[in-house]
Parts: sequence; structure tokens; C-alpha cells
Amino acid sequence: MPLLFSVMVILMVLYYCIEGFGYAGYNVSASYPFIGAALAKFLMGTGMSSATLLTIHNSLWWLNYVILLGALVYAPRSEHLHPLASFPNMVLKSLSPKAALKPLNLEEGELFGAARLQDFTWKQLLDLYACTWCGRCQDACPAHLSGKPLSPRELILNLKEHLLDEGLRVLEARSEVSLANPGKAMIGDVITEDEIWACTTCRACQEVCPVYNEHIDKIVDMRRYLVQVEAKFPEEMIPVFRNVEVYGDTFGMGQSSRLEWAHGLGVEEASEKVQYDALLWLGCEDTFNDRRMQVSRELVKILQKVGIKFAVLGRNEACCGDLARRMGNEYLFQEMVSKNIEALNKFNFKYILTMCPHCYNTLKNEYKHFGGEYEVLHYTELFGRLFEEKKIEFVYPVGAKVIYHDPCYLGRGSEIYEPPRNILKGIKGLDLLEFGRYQKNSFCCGAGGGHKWMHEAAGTRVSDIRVEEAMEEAPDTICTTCPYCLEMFEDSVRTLGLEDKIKTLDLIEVMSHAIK
Amino acid sequence: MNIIVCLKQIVLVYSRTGRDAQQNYISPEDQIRIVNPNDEWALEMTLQLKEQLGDTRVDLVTAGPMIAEESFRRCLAMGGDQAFHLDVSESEISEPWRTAGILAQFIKTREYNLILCGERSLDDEKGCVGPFLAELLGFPFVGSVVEVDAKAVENKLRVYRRLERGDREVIEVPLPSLLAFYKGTQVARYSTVPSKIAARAKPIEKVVIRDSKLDESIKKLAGILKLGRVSSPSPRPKWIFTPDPSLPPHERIRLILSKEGGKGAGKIVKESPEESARKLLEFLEGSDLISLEG
Repeated sequence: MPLLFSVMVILMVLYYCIEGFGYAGYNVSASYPFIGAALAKFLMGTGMSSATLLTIHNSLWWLNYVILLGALVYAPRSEHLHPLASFPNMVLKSLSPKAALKPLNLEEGELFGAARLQDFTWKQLLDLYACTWCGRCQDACPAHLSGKPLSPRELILNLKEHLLDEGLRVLEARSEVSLANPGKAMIGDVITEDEIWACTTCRACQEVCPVYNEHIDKIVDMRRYLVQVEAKFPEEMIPVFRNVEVYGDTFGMGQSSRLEWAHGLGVEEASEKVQYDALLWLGCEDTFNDRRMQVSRELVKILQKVGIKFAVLGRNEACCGDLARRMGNEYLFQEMVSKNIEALNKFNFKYILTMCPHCYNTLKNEYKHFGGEYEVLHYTELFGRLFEEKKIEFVYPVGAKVIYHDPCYLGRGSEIYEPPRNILKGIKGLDLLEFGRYQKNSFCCGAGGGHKWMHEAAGTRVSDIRVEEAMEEAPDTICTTCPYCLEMFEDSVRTLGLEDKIKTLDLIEVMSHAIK
Repeated sequence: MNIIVCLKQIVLVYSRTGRDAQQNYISPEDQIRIVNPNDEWALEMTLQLKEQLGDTRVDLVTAGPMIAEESFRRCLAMGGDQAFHLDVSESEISEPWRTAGILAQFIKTREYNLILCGERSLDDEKGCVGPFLAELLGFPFVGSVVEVDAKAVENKLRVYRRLERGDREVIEVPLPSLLAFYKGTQVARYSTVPSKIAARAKPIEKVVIRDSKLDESIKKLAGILKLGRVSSPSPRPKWIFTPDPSLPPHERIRLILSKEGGKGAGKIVKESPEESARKLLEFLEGSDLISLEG
């Protein structure tokens, strides 16, 4: 940066001198441009000969252009390229849904992820040039702020350095670059594996980037290589992948156990002959996790009260695959997608109603790449709409100071901010508080990207940071609309010893206290 | 070195969603078909041995109907040079010494220095195939193995056998031998996508066990074992009551404890929480399960 600034200052001074010496040399009296004219007036008073003045004027003119053109030659090789690259990067930014990832064509033997620069697309590499070094991504990243080795800014800049070092060589050899003499290994030397696994895919970095850089697709592509080609990933994830592969859920309970949460509620397992309004898609967490089962049961009671005709897939439901995809296991993800699309297409429903923002994003934005196009609603959207249409009424007051946490995949990822807030504001006696970092700046709970199952080896726990941030507003309840967030906050509240001071509730539970 | 790992395909039922009491409320979808986990850990140990030793051949064999092919191929994706399927009917693997006989017939046709199998399977949990197979082949046998070190001793294996409370017995075993594997610190490796894709297409060699009558070696055992009849598996002589799984838990417990359900054993405590806790403690002490001080 200093170099660019100094060059600009020098050029500016030179330009004034060119004007001044020029006017003086040609003996022109002018009052405009101001500085040049004033300099000219001064020079004409010094008694220097026209010839001298004009020589100096011409020399400075040439110097000006040498510096200017020299800078233009140098800039692409330096950080000063970013102004040139930012503009095309912004124009060419992705128009697909924010939290959706691009599929890999595994059948055609498309390379399984990115292990070298050549494996990235040209748009991904353009991002590296467009980075303005501002560091906003770093200041928003939960991994970085909690002491993990990952910094989104360093990721982009290290990759860019690597590109500048290796790029020419790669181009010369075209696609036949052998990995025998790679110089530095992209995964390992340039970017360490710890950095790759530290990401929770919360998208805070992408949200604040002024030039629309995409950090996450590079991280996921590197994960795709590590998981699929080398099978090298945190060991804690082996049982999770295994469970999804063998049993169809992250808990390893089996698809037959998917109705046990619903004992005694009269929940219907979808039948092919019936037309439903909603197909309730629970997700693995809300089916098997003891704490979340309570929320699922409340949701069913509310749906029954409101009179929505719904069914669950029950034994036909398998993990949506979001976790596998964010971890880079695209192969497993695509297996789950085909399984689920086959199951979903057997039944007749108007929309899929989800409880989990991750399932919501995956079913809505990612299944369509594989032939599964469905209308998908998160329950906040449904209840927000019903509340506006006065079809649900919050009769009973709930006297609580509730702070609402926007889940990454619901808020920032799907831009659903208002419906849950409208619901909370519509409940009598409820005092709605907001985090300092709220809506699109919401701070991740730390469970995304597979982190619910991974050990947090370094730094502070991400969810501890968020709970302590909540306590600054002095609430008595943290309310959220995502199973991961709920579990992480409950755990942090316990670890921080705040159980007496604060409760953790899902929005459904708050609603069920207020609804008739 | 040539190693063969014996993998059993099993069917587990975690949750029952059927409606037919005669089927014990198990519906076909409730069946979870996998390769026995102990056998998978044995395979992982074998692959680690291969990494220790280098020039090693690892074969996989499974006996009986191919009921868990996807899981078997997942094992193949972990590693392994060739897979064999001894295509016999379910009745022929209904008793451990019969399974051992079939495996022995096959293994004798090839050269193996080391055989590994899981210690016991999750469905029957008899744990007998290993010892029977070792006897039929005349191999030394060690059970409950958690670790195998092939480099410590020349031409022998240093084998760690699990005892109680974390103790280990260290045994030096000559080759050829048979080890029944429990679980050590090994984690069944996750296979790469290219391996998975290759394993899907890899041929599993079907081996015909022509002689479905008993092998000569098994007849030898008969002199010691006093074989009775050979018949297809008979139904369980005792009917065990299974309550309808769609009922809530307290109903199911009530049914099990009542005369219509089972033996009518057990008692439901209905007093206040404090009184119930006291009664429960009395019961536990009376059954010698705990001792209360003072």
C-alpha cells in the first residue's frame, strides 16, 4: 500500500511541476489550474530562461510517463492488482443461493476436490487477485476470533502468493505438471490442514467481503480432496460418516427408529395415496437428540392445533447429507441425495417443512442440482406467515427477556431475519433483546462444518464466546431456531455455570407457551 | 505372508416397527444388514499388519448367503486383494462347527500363514467359529486379541490378549496360526472414494462348496463331541413375550411384568418418589446387588 500511495503522490507533484514549468516556459499567464498557474507565476519571476524551463518541463513529462507506465507494468505482479481484479470479480459474482455449494460430477471422474492450483476454477483464482487485504473477513471469522489457526484473509493471500509463485510454471507445462516436483504442496505447506478443518462454513467472511470473495468454496474443495482422495480428516468424523452410510443418520440408530420421538402423538407416516400440505422433515438432530425431541413434539402439537395436514417420512427419511457435504464428502452426500429424492418423490405434498436450517438450505438450494425440486419452508417462515394472517394467536403472555440468535444458515445464509422476530414481538410480555452482532453479522455457534463432532483443540470454545456475548444484554432466555445452535448454547451455559441465570429455548418452545 | 480374514454378515434389529406379533413385531425394513464389527476391526488390524510387513497378501472370505453385500464391499474398499464368497445356504452356517467346517474346506485349498476373524458376532455371540476352525486346521489359536506385532520377533507374532480391567497377556505365536480379534486401539479406516468405486465393481469370487455333507475333519471331531442330529434350525423352544413396540414405554413394562405377558415376575412401585426410592434400595440390597452402609 505505501508504494502505491507514494507513487500517486509523486505523480501528483510531477504533474503540478509539468503544468508550472510548461506555462512558465511558454510564457503563458493563467490563473487555472490553480497550483500549476501559481507555480508558473513563481517560476516566471525567477528569471530562468524559456529553454531551461521547457527542458525541465519535457523531462518531467517523460519522467511522469515512465513512472506511470512502469507502475502499470509492476502492479499486476504486486498487491496493486486488486483494483483491477475487484471490479470483474464483483460483476462476475455468484448469483446462486448464498449458502449452496456447487456439485461435483463424480460420474465423469471429475477430480475429487482441489489439491493443486490447477484444480481450482478460474473464478476461484480471480478471487485471490481481487482481495483488498482489508481483513474484514478475519475480524468476522469465529474460528479466527476464538484462537484457531484459520484466518480467511491469510488463506486467500497465501493462495495468491502460491499462485504468483507457481502460476507461470503451471501454465508452461499446461495440464501435464507432474506432482513429483511441485515446489510447495498447496495442502500442507501453503495451507495447513488445521486451517482447512477449523472452518465452520458460517459465511461471515463472505458476507463482509467488499469484493464478494468466496472463501468457503475453496476450503470445501480442499476438504473434498482430503476426505475423498486421501481419506485424511479428523478421526472423530469416521464414526459420523459411517453412521450416515450404514444407518442413514448421524447417530447410528437406523431408519426404523425414526418414529420413536413421536410416541403417542398420532403423527402420520406419509402414505403414497394421500395428499398432504406439509411433509415435515425433521432432520437427524430433531429425531434422535433427547433435548431436540422435546422441540419436535411441541412443533407437532402446534401443527395439529393450527390444523395443518402433515406427515413425516418416518422410516423413509435419511440424513439430508448437509454435514457430509460441508465436510467435503461429496460422494456420501450425493448418495444420500439420491436416496432421499427417491423417497420424497413417492409422496404428494405442497411443501417440505423443515426444523433445521441446514436441512432447509440443502433441500431447497442443493437438491435441485440432482433433480429434486421442492418448495421448502423453515418453520419460522410458515409460522411467520400464519401469524401475519392471524391464523395463530399468542394469547398467553410470556414474561421473559429473550435474546434471539440468528443461526448462520437461516439468517445470513437464507436471509430469514424478520419472521422469528415478528413472532417474538407478537408475544405479550416478552422483551426482545438483540445481540450486538445480529442479523447478518450474527456470530456462529461453532457447530457447523462438522464441528459439532470435532474436538476443539485450540483456543476458546466458539459457543462460549457467543453465550458470554449474550450475557452482556442481561437476558434470561436465549432463543434460537436451529438444533445445532440450541445444543451448543445449552452446553456452553452448563460449562460456564450459567444454568441458574439463563435458559436456552427454541422458538417453538417459546411459541407453545404463548399459543392457545 | 498370506493372510485371510473371515467376515460374517449379520442382521441386527435396533427398532421394531412391524405389526405382526408372530414376527416379534419385526418388519423387513427394521433389519440392519452389516458385516460384524469385530470382523471389521480384525480386517483393520490385518491391513495395519500389511503396512508393517510389506509384501503381504490379504484375502477376505464370507460364508453363507450374501445378505449384506454393500457392507462387505465397504470392507473390500478398506483394502484386500481378493474376496471370496462361500455360497452356502443359511442352514449350513447355523451352527459354529458347521461354519468352521465350510471355512476349513475352503482355506485348506489355499496357502495361508495367518487367519484372522472376529472374536464373536453381534447376532449370536457364541464366539465358537474361531476355535473350531483352528482345531480343524490344526493351527494354534489365540482369542480376544487386541494387538498384533509382526516385527518384534523373527518368524513369530507377538500377540496381545485382552484380560480383565485393561491387563494384557503377551503371547508369542508361531505361524501359521489363527487369531480371534477383539477391539484394540485400531479404528476401522475410512476408504477413499476411488477405492469405494473400485470395490463396487470388483468381482467377489463365488466358491462352490460341493460337499454339503460333513467334512472328514468334522467327523473326527464327532468322536469327541458326540454329534446328535443334523437338522435345520428349530424354532426357539421357549416363547419370549414381546410387547407391541408402538405402545408407550410404561405400557410395555406393565405388560412384561403382568401375567399375560411373562412370568409375572417383578413389582411395580407406585408410592411417592421418596418411598419408591427407599423400596428400590431395599430391593437392591435384598438381591445382594448393593450393600448399604449404616
